[in-house]
Amino acid sequence: MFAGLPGRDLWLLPLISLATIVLLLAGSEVVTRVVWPEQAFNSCRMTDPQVGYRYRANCASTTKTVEGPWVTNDYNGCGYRSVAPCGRVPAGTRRVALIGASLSEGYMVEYPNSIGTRLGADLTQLCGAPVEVQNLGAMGYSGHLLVPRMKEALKLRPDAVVLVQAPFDLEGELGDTVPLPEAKPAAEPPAAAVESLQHRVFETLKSSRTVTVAQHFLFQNPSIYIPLYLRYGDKADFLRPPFSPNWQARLQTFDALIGELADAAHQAGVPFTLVFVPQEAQVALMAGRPVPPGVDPAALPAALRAITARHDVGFVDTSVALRMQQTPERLYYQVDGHLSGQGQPLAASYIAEQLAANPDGPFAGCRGTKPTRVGMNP
Amino acid sequence: MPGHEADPRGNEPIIVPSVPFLGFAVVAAVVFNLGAASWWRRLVLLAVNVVFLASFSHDIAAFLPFIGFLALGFVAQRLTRGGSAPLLYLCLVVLTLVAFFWLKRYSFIPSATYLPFPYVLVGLSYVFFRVLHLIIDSHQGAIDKPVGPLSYLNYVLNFTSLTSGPIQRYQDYHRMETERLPLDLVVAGGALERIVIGYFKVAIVSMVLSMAQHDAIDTLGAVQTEGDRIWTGVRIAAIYPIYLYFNFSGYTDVVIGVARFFRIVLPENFDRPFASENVITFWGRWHMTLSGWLKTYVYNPLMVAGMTRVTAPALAPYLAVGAFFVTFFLVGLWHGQTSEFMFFGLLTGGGVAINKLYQVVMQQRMGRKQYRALAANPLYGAGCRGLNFTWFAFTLFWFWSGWTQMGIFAHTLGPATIALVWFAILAGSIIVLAVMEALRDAILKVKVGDDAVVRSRYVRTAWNTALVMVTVAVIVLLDSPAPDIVYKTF
Repeated sequence: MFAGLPGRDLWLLPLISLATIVLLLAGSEVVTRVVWPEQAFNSCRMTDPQVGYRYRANCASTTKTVEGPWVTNDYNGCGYRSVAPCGRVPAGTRRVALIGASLSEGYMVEYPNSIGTRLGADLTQLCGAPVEVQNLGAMGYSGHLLVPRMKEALKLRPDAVVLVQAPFDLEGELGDTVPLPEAKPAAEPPAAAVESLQHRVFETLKSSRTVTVAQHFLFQNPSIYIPLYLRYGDKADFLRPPFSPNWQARLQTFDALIGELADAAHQAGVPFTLVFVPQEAQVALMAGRPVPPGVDPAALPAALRAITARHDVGFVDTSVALRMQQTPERLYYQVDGHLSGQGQPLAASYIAEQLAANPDGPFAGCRGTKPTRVGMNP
Repeated sequence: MPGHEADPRGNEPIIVPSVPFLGFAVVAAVVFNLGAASWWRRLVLLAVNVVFLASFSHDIAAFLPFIGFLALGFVAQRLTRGGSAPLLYLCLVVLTLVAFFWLKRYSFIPSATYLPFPYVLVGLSYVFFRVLHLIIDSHQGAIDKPVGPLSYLNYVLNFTSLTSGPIQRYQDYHRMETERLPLDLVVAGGALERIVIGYFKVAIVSMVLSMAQHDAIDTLGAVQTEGDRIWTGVRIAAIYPIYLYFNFSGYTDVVIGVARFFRIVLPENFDRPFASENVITFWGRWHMTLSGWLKTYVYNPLMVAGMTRVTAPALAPYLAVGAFFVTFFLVGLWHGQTSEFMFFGLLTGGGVAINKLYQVVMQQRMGRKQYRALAANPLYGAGCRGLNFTWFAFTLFWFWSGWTQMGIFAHTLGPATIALVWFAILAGSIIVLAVMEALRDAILKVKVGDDAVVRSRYVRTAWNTALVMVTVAVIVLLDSPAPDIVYKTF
């Protein structure tokens, strides 16, 4: 059986094989970190007792996600990602206050292509008069953090307040599951310690650059990405009506939140609009990919529409525009899941059209040239 | 379309090489090696061959022409065995040839005679070579014992080499049927290594090269500087021979490795062909089993027939020129029925014949010793290597392209640019091939004991592990379909 093979080779050859695997993985991690760098830390961030953090006034920073380009973030005198000053609105100019989390901020998208910038430009084009956007969006500003943000937005005396939400923004709406920072975990039983170790190893591997880059290419194929996403469980349960108890709870919390935000906006006499941006797999399913039994990609926007109707809030579902694209899933950062520099302008263009189409809104009568949607199918 | 290779009802054939093929081979090899008895292994191999073939169609009728061809071959080699019935032998050889051309729907066969239903043709060209060799060798007494039906079917239908060869001699196959070749850890390791290297060549290297060539073709129409146009032309013409080598030799590596688990040693098909210093030796190192077959059954008989008729010794070397032309014209013609393949045959046969003529003339003028000294000169060798590569790349245009596309290339590039492209390919291939040969020599000189370091099993283990990782990663990440083998079409 082992003729011609020295005994030592029975352990030496497998060891060489194993060492090669380890070396290749380490090498690929180094190479991917060089070729696909990341700069997640935003040097303009500063702590804020009310909302956790905010951006420094008149500050500039450079950030980059693994999948995206280098992005320069310029913040105005109020720490908002807008070039327009946040003081008194100039005569003849209309102002939109954009609130929300990372999508509103234009996370990891160059300023000219970010959703806020493009919304201002498109509305200006439609109205034939200047419309500026004060972008109050910032990563993590969802749930109850939106209440103080809405108050801040209303102080800017905007003509409209727009909140952008994606399914992952709603994931955190359970609220009561977050442990108190002071609470110390009890000593782990041995089995739990093993599980914790496994979890740590898994998380380490998952956060490796090699895995991220591999996933980036892997997820470009919808036939791989969609089934994988649908297996996420709770994260993907918003695609499976009737909603799971967790998602029902999230929607109830969000309903209450929208009610509170709407009340504040109505008291100030400012129209308030909720914008929905679909998740990557969701829009791919809407665009004609085979939909598995029990899955309904339109269920969540329908539920959100009902919520906004109850509180007299405007509603714009950008999936109507995004799903018209040939390969809408390519409008996203594949692993990160945010709309990319290709997707944000399309979403902004549709929001502008819908705001202008509202006969009772602040942009009624804006019937100028329709903004160009790059790559839009007829 | 000459018949079908897949069931019109959507049956999925087992593609060689693919991950399902490797899975199928693993299960089959385990069952095959469960019993040591010869009858067990032969029966299991037959079952495996039949299951493999059956994956190409679920319609029994689609196999009838194939079965008929196999039956004709079996009967022919039995009836004419040992030199008996020479007239019948001639008729059966002609009948086998006609049956092959008819089933393959060659254009000189009247289309009204074609079978009106789709049928399986997978590997028929390679089956044809095996069957014809059996009939001829059996008649000439080169096969000792009568070929039984089980050995016959396992030989002609061997699933590892059915779709694209290599073309094995029956005598070699039969010896392995009876000798019970060992399959120990070292042999299995060597076989696995061939599979890993072959799969990497086919699935990764040839895929990348194919993409690069297609990219060059796509950019041809764009506005480019003269330098860029030359570079585009170079990529279009020079990448294809390299792609074809990795594609076909990779396939051959995989099937040689797989066959070894069935205790079969398949013949080699490639031996560093681009290191060849002339067209004749090139064809002795490229698709070796095909050129070997044609040398045995076309070139040698032509030479024998010529020598018996031409008595003047001075003319003998020129007979080889003619015999080479006919043999390699048939190599080209075998690939397909279109005028492009006929032209490919003319160029291939012409190239080999001119090469032979050059050797004859040079030896006559310089003398044998002087000519040998010239051929041994490294600079002359490097030039010849580059010329051989350039000529092969040129002839392959009629292999992979068509008249219309070639017209577009010619129109887009223009005669001056085309001339510069071929000059660049010649100069580039002289330099690159010379550097590669020098590097190879240098690497092989690094030794531990008597063996080159790169050939030690420790280095090979690390290298093959790396190839597996890269191959698996690319297959999983790109979700790429099974690699396509150019030669499965022939």
